Amino acid sequence: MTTDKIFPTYSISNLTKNYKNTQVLKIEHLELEKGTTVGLVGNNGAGKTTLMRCMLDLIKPTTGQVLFEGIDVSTTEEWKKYVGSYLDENMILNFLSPDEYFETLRKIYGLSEEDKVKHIELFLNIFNDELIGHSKYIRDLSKGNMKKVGIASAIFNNPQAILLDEPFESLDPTSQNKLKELFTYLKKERSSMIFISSHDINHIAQISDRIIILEKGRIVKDLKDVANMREELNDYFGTN
Amino acid sequence: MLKLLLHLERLQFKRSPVRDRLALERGMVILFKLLLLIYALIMGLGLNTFLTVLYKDVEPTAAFFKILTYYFFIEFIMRYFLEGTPKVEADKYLHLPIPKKTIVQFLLLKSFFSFINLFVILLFLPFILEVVSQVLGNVSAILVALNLVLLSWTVHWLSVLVKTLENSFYYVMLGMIIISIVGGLDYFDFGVLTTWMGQFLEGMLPTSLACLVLILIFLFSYFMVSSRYARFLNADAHQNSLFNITDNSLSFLSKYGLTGQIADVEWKLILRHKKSKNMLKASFFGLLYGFYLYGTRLDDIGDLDTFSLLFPAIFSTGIFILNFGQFFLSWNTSHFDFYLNQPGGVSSLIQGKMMIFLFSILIMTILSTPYLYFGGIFLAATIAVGLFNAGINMHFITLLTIRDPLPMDINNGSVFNYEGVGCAQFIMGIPFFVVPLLLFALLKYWLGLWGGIIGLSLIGIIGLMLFPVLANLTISKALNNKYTIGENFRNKKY
Repeated sequence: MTTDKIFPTYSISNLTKNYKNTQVLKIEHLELEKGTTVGLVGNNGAGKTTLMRCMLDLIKPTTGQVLFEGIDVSTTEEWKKYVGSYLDENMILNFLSPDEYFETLRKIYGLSEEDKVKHIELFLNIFNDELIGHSKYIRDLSKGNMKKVGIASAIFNNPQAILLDEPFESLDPTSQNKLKELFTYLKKERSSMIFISSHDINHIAQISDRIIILEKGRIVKDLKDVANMREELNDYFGTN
Repeated sequence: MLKLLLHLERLQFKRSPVRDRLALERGMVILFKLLLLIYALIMGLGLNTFLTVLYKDVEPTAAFFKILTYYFFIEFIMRYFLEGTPKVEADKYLHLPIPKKTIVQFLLLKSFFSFINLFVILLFLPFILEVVSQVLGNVSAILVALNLVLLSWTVHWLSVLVKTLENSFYYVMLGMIIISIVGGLDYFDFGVLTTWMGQFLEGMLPTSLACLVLILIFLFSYFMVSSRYARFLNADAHQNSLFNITDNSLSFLSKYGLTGQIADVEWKLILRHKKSKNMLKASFFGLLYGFYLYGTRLDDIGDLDTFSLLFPAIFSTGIFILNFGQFFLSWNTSHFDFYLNQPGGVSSLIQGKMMIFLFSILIMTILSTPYLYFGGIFLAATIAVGLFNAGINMHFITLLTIRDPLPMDINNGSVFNYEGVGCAQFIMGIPFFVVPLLLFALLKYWLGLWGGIIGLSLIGIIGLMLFPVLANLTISKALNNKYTIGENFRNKKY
């Protein structure tokens, strides 16, 4: 799969997801461009995680399709090499130690030992000396530390698209800031497309080039004016 | 308060999204328990006859007191394996102003209402009424019955207590070996231990002093258990043992590419969860079973039937794949999305599991080489069945269970934990045992005994050569079902 410039990283059309008689997602059209950081916000139950799961082919949409670089994600698995994601604890092998887990990922992605070390170095200041070289299973880690392992695994293979559900939640303030720096770095140096859902208006407004507001499964706002984002978000949520 | 807790528990069952399935499972369990109780009653009614046959030269009452030592040991084993551990599900109550004592009381009382309590009554009451009351008089007979019940109740607390010990399984195994030796000695008339125990019980049990002492012991054991449980209620108590991880890697597996790497990860999964660890231990019992069955048939080896020859072999080489294969993907409930999210993840996962299965058959077959002691035919049969299990049977199981894998909490290790059990788990034993038996019987009929063994091996070898094709059947089914499986696992409706 080459990164042909004609295709946006993600292109979603007529995507709906129904559970019994309730429609939880209805997105007519959405394109996510390479090298951008896109925030996804919305109240609880707005459909943020459902959208991400559809984009990762974890659930089958009722109608519509998701294209990753022009290819329908439900037809191949090749794209999984280029998309990194961490939505929740179901996506992590929690009975391994972080070291074992990263080693497993290294083998799955067929990376060299140096690649792995380089990748882990990216995270060293976020891991804060608590995760590497410690003999503790991931399932026994604190929530925040577990999240750090998850995020590190999402970015492991130098992906073109990164999907993260609530990455800032349960991280300490220092790690939150370091994580924001990391996102900026990834966007700049690797021109990855970063798609992040969050409830934290400050963080999301700070790093996003674009913010999509979801309400009852529908896109109600697509903010692209970086200067006024925070204000518009506060207006929408009635905060401030 | 106890009433409220009980009420909440009932609601949990009633509102479970899979209530119908739970109800069916409970029904099956109740049926099974009922069956055991009926057996106990039949044995109880026939106990007098049984004792006179078993101990020809001993008075029936003396024989009765003699076998009690065995009985209570067996009861202990039954309680240890069949009764669930009072579940420490207390985490959700600990922050509320409910005294810990109450929670412990609730858990322990609930565990106390066990069907095994009825065994002692069903087994011995008929005999006590019929014989003991004649010999020792009615008052003594009532005291004996009462004391037996008290003993049985104390055994319950003992088994709960033992379960809280680390490595309790090994102690129980040790106990089983000791009692087997005692039994063996007894059988060859060397055993004085049980005779002494019998005489002691015969002297003590009919007295009211014993009754008083047993009540005290019973209460004491309850308090022991409850104080131990109270310590276990701290939220982190059950984590402490996990803090030091050991490197139990099958690192040579990871040489075999991605599949091998995942096989290694799966092996770690088995060693690091309670349910899988228990099943792994149980798998080794399969081998002992072979020794037992072949051992008892040593004198009539000449006309050994298909069943007696093959069944232990299927069991010993296949019990691992039967145990682990029945929950094939359910083992990965908590992290299935991980595999969905990797390129080729699901197919590597399935192949990795199969690699472990093949490896287990190899190990079990190697461990069965001592069957040579009974004669070459037994080892040959074991190898033939091992090949058949590896080539054909493994795929039967994976194909059956891949249809609708149910989510399962693999940290729950108790025997009557029926999470992940659906229809497939009940019926899959049939093809697993029946197909090789039938095939062998047919081949033996046409080609003779060795023809059957060689034929079965050949079929297995052909299956092994077709491995990629057969494995693909399971893989493509899993991929077709991946959304449903993923959703079920994510929602974790146990």
